[in-house]
Amino acid sequence: MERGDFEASLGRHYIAMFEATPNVMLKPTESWRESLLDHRVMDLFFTIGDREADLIVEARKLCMSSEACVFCQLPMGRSSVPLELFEGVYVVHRKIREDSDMAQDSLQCLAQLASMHGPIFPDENAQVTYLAHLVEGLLNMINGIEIEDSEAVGIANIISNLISTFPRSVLTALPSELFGSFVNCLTLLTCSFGRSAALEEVLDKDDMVYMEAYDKLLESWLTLVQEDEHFPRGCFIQPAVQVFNSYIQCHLAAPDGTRNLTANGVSSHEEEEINELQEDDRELFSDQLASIGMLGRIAADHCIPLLTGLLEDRVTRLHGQLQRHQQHLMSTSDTDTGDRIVLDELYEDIHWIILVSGYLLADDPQGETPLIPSEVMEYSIKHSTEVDINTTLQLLGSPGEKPTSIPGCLTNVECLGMCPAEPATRAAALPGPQPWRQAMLQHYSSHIIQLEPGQRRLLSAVLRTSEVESRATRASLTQLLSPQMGKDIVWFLRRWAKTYLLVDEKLYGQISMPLSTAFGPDTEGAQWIVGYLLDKVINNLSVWSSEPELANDTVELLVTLVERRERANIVVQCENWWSLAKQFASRSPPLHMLSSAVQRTLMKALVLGGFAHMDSDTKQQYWAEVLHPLQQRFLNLINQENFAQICQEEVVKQEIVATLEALCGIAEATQIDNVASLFSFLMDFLSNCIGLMEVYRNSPETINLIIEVFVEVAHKQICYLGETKSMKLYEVCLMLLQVYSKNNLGRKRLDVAGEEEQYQDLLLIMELLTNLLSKEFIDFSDSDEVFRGQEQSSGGGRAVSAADVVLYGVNIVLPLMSQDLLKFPSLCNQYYKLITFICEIFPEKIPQLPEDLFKSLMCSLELGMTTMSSEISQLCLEALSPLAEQCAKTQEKDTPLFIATQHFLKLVFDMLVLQKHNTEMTVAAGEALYTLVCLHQRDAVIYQRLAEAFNGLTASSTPPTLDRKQKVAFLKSLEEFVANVNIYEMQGAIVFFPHSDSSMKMSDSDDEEPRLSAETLAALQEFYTESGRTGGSVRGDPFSVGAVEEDWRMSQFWYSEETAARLAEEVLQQAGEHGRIACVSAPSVYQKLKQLESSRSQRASTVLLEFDRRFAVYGEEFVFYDYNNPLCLPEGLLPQTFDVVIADPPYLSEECLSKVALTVQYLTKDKILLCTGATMEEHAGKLLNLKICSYLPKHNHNLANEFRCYVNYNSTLLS
Amino acid sequence: MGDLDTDFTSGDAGASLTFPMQCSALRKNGFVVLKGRPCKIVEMSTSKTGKHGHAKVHMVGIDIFTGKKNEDICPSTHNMDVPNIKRLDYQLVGITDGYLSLLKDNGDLREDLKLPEGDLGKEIESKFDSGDEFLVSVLAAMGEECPIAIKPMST
Repeated sequence: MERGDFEASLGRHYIAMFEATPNVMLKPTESWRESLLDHRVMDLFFTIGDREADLIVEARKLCMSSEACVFCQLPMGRSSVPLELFEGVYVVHRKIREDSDMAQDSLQCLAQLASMHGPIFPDENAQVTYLAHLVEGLLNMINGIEIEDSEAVGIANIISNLISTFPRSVLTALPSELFGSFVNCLTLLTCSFGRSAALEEVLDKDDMVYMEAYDKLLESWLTLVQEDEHFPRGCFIQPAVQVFNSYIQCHLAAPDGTRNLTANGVSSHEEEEINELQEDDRELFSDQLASIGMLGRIAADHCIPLLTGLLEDRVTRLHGQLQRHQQHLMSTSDTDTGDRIVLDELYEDIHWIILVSGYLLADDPQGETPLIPSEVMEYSIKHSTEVDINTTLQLLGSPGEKPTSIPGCLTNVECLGMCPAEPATRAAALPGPQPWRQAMLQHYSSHIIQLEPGQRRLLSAVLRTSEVESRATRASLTQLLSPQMGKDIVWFLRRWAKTYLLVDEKLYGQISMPLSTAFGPDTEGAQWIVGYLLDKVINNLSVWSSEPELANDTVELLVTLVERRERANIVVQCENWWSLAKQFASRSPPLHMLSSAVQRTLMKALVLGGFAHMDSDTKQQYWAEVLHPLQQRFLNLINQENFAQICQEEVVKQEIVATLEALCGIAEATQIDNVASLFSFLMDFLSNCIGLMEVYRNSPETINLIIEVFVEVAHKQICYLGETKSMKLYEVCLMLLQVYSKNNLGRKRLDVAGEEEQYQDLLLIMELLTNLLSKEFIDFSDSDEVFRGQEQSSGGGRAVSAADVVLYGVNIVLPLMSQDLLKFPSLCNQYYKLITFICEIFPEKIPQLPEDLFKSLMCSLELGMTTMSSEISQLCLEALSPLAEQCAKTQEKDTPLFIATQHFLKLVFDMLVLQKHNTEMTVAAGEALYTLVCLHQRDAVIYQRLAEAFNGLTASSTPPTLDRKQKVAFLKSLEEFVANVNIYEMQGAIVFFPHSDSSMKMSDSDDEEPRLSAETLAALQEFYTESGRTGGSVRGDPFSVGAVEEDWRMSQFWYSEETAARLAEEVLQQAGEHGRIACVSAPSVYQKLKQLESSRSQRASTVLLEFDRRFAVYGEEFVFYDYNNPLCLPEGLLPQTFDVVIADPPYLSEECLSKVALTVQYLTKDKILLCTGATMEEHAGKLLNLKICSYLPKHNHNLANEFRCYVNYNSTLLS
Repeated sequence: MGDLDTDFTSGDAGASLTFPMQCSALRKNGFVVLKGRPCKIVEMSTSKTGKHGHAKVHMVGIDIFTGKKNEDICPSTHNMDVPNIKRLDYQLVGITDGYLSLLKDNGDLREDLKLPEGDLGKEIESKFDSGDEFLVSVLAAMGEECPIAIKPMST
């Protein structure tokens, strides 16, 4: 067991983590140095090669433990040892790489070694030496082998760990030759993985290993080049060019690229059905594209002209192709243009070029205004001298003028005006490629011409693409166009506009002259491009109304144009904008055909535009045309005398729905400087909406939309609202909740098979409550500053507080939530978010909740902690601390909350120490545990036991207090504690089978079973017995039914006194004197039996098989039982040894019953008494040959399902 | 279902039975004509053939009269027919030979609607027999009319 001991001391914790998540970073503490100074480790390691037979086994061990070997040797300054060690691992890897499982292990081991950091390194030199050996070994290995598919990810992991772990200073301290070859190797590897990934896509493989590896490597590049100032200047340019080129190559069609080419050069072209749920490439590959974009910037001198050239070429070809199609259309009446393959190939090329360009030129436009990347700025400055600014301005300043009339321009532009779409002129509308190209060049991006190879030439190329598209739509060729390309174009323009349009010079240390003169504030260039973009938007909205995603991207571009005041100021000067606004306000075609989401965003844009700078008359006129028609129509409609009669008519409903959608859009447009007017405007509607709740109570979609308006208003506005305004909002929300609750009274939600969207209203209500609560976290209101001068202070009167509204809402929501509903992820998340918020913000309100509500809240917390995803568990754990603090504050014991926290203390302790838990949760669980321990320390016994069990966890002898310093110290030692005492596998043995010796024995197999010291075990066990006794889970007479409370999450429903007694009598009678009875999942019968037993002479021995470990208080008669493992029973339970078995399967399903039946048949000599739902009659007969009894068992709480007993013997229950 | 215009006998003469709407503008829970029958849309999804293809809309509708399921898939630019649907409530004043006698708002009587088959018909009959006063909701679309629900009298 020498090795076993060694491994036991070697951080089982790390091994466990290692197995769970392969990419755990190694951060060994200093103490590893001394504790692991053991030469046997090295001996073990170096004997590997000799014993071929053991090689594989040893290699596995090695992979688990070698991390430790390094720690112990390195600090000794024996720098040759790590080198040997790496060689060893690399050698091992080469030997075992045929066995892919083994190879995985050894690569993971290397990846771990590559992530080593922390105090194990005494100084930077040690780190440099270590890294040098690591890299050298890696290069040797990679160069010496041909990489297998299964190795790709492992190798990528090693590199990725290495780059993200070691500080730049260590990387640069490597010998430059070594570093050079490392970068070189990385480059080659990236390109090669990229190609293989593309191949995987063509073959449509399920397991995209190269794609994963490629992603990893690209990510590593991003990390590397983001801090490139540490490296010799320009050292990444060549690699960047290579990686960039290979990416482009993989995404272009032949002959330039290799897209869709299989390994032997055969092109595959398949049209597959793509559904709406599939993500767009720009999202799907956003990480890749971001890395490639970054690399493109590094090598801007190469990449920008490359992209520009490619795009210009493709657009010219596209134009020619469209023309050919058009001529074909004109010459034949045949509408089917047949071969679209050429077009599709072009579209796909353009698609990728635009995506890469977008990522290269600008960062993700989410949130704040992104800055122009410094590399692009430098590039532009570098080339600024080549630009003829005068020509540029002249051209831009006279968009209406023919470029020919300006000196320096020489080509024909006859076709640049608007092209009528009549068939006769179509041919003229699309001029030949060459003249057209020149015309385009000069007109739409005139300032750029050939003189200027700057980044804006890339923009101009995209603008040309956009123009080709627009022209084709005018020439009625929309059918031939690609909506995908349309999306790409507006996406690019939006990204570009966010960053470049009206650049704020103050944000930059240096600015490129051409950039600021072309698109800066107060330039004609900016005006021109805004006008152009607006035209594009309007054209798209009418031409592409049938493509929801494209329309959506288009309105997003519009929002970008108006969300910054500077841009909006230009936008509102355009006539187009006003006609768009009018058109939309009157709901006239084609805008009314847009999807509701698009209409909503359009409304948002129109409202945002309204806050641009205009003189007051104009502004008034604007609002009169945009918002007032909405209000007017709505009021006219609902105030109609016969509204009650016509309200269900389709037309009326549509009008109402359109209004509600618009309201959501208006709320979305909220910004800090417009909240005052928008809030007042929306409030008028909100009270009317409550009336509509009544009218449309039978139309769930409308109800949802109404609630959504409230959700949006709360979401967007509450953080800006001052006290009085918030109060108003709380009031209307409260009214809404009241109506909602009234309408939901008695509403049945039993349809378990229902779809998630049926519960949309519930989700929205919870969202609303959460939004209202969020004010406690995010509050920008400066005591009503934004409303100053608008309102008088509110008169006395009792104000509605957020707490009141939210708790009222919770009162409504909680009873509607059921365990089944928690299966829907969105509902589940929202629900837990809400209850955690409540616990955190209003802990003082929790004890005041009505009993039922309180109970279900506690149940929910427990359920969330123990059975949900780690994210939910974490939320629940976070909710515990404030609850415990609340208890501590009130100093009252024996309140339900106090008792609940006791229970949680045990649960959290369980979770941390005894169960296989997620390491991410240690902090949250630790915090909760700490507060709970603080609270319950008065309970001296528990505290003492805990203290012993923790074994130095709370090192100081002072009792824990609620201060931060102690908490942090506690968390730190807890982490170590958990790492060292990972005893989850022992749980069953320690706590619940104290009598069973066999389960305590450790097997001598190769599995390293973690174990605890005898003292710790004893302490833990005592702790459990103690907390079991005092923990409040069993009260009064331990054998009375209900001594242990029902727990619905375990599907526990106790029988009524009468039923329990009747069933107990029955089994006692059937068992006979000294008979043996087994109660399977029927604890209340067991409890009754024990009661009866004490009051009479008749003796029977009874065993309770039960999943709920709270019943472990019944000592040896309790046997843990999980129906999922029906025959996993302690050795003591011999087959066919029970005179009668009574079973109550926890669930009404065939699956559950058939498993329980296995247990029952195993245990019983013959007699079976089964209690379950009436619906199970058929299965009960089939599985166990049982007959249904006429006796009707009753429960303490009425169950919705009819319940019955079944027997296989002659019983009085039958009649 | 044959030519729908020919059996157009009642309802608002002059008002068109359907109006066209671009497929993409249709909404779930809205109405559309599928396979010649007025349907309520219960499912809608879009897809496209190939990355650069145009959107197609897949619709599943439930026949508002028969409850039968109809499906259709068409390019999202196509115009679909949307039925003009009217829902009217009449007071039931009698049942003769399997026909309902319904009182219009203006006091006229109409007796051209059959007592529906199935549960609704039975419910109408039994409620009427027991002397209850109630309204019958009649749905009219594309020249077809059918009682679809009963409502208590609003007082």
